[in-house]
Amino acid sequence: MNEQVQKSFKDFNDKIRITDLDYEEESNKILREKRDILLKDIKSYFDKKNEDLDPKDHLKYKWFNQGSYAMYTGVKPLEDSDFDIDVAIVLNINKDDYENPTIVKKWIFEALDTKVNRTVKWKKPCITVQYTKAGEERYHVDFAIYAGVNDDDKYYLARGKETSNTSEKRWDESSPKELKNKINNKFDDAEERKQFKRVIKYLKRWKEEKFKGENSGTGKPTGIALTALAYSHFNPRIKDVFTNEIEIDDLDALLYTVTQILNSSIWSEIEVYLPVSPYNNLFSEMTLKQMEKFKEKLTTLKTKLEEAQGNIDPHEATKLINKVLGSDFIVIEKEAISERSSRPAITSSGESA
Amino acid sequence: MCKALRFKLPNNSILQINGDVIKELTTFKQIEPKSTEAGGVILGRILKITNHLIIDEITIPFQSDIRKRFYFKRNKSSHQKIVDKRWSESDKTENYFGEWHTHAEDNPTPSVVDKNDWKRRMKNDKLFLPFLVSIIVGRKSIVVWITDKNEKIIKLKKINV
Ligand SMILES: [Zn+2]
Repeated sequence: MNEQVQKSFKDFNDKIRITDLDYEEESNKILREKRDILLKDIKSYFDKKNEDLDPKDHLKYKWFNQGSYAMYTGVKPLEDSDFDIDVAIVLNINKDDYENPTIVKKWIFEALDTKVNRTVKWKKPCITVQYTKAGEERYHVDFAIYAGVNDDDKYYLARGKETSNTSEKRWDESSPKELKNKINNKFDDAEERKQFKRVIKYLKRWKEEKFKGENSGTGKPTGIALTALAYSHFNPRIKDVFTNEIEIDDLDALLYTVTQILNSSIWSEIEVYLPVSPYNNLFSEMTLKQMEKFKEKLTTLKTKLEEAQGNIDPHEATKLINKVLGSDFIVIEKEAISERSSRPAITSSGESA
Repeated sequence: MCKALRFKLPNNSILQINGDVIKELTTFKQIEPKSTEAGGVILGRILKITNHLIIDEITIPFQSDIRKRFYFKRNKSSHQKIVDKRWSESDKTENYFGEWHTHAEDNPTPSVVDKNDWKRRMKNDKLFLPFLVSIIVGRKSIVVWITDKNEKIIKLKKINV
């Protein structure tokens, strides 16, 4: 383990991570404000709707952040791609009272589709608000809508578009809060937990670098799929195994995770299940060819990390890591880590045979 | 890209030849029946903290060098100019480590001419390290020796990782 290389990982993490949306921090201000404006529009919509309803029939809801923001595994997007924020809206309705979930999704669509500077889109698992700036997509907010008062006490996600087939319009069992808790509570030890989150972020940034310009339809794995892979395969590397002293080694932790992912899928297709219900395989949408490509890229990642780990020169090691994790991973300058000498050597001509 | 090679020095620190250098050295392998000897100087730096040695760069034959099937003679000034230039460009960190050349044999061993040249340099040249590093590029392997103050020539063991 090299401390200079570990320092580079730490700097990389600071550079790519997205801090808690609800902390007072300048970088999140715009995103938070946008989200809060949308939440306000949803509130006015339901307030108005409730005016015409009997108080006992009033529609109520609660909201919370879900996805990477809630799990502290958010990674800043690369240039030309946009930030996304995931918000859960849980309504006090029973799914059995609404056979067609798109009726419920339409409320959120109508609540949001009011301003000219935003585009509201139907997506199968959510309603998306896309903000455009100078013709470029910059950030979007995904609203996942749940029925929260059901006979079995579970949450159900409203799926489908108005134009979808009947089979695609359905209520899917879902556990957004349990997922968040499971990821956040996997490790009791704070250092172990932090390293786990860092490794997830490294994998997510690697994915953005290596699948540039692609989307999940063309074989780019989703953030949640990588999160679930890390959930099953990550093992902390925070202590020297002999002395038991704190020795944080992100390179080894990342390499171990990648190696375990590959080992677990040598003879089979890659698969990983959401660690909470509905426990669906998060690689089910990938074709065999796309999976092969994903594994190939993972193998390259593994090879480069191994080479970096064996390399005694922090400059060369960070150069190798920079090739796989991208330009936000800073290469340590040779001059900064090498001894200076008083003069260049003076050498004569010579012969060899 | 080629992988870096690592060797153990007598003082237990490590000498690493970086992947780019390995790649360049292998391009001079004397594979063809008529290919001639090549050689040049080795440049590297000493790492702070660990004191490991890193070989970053080499010079390659100049027009003014003499290249035969079993003989290579390098000119002084053209290679020295690069040593000086790299030293100042690198904030005084890159310096001369020693010499490399090729052999038209699979697993090279130094000739008498080679050994005498290494000892002479150890005695007469103004070196950067307390020893001279010599690399011979064979057809199937790259071998490294150091010549120490007592003019003892020691073959370095490769470290497997
Ligand atoms: Zn020779």
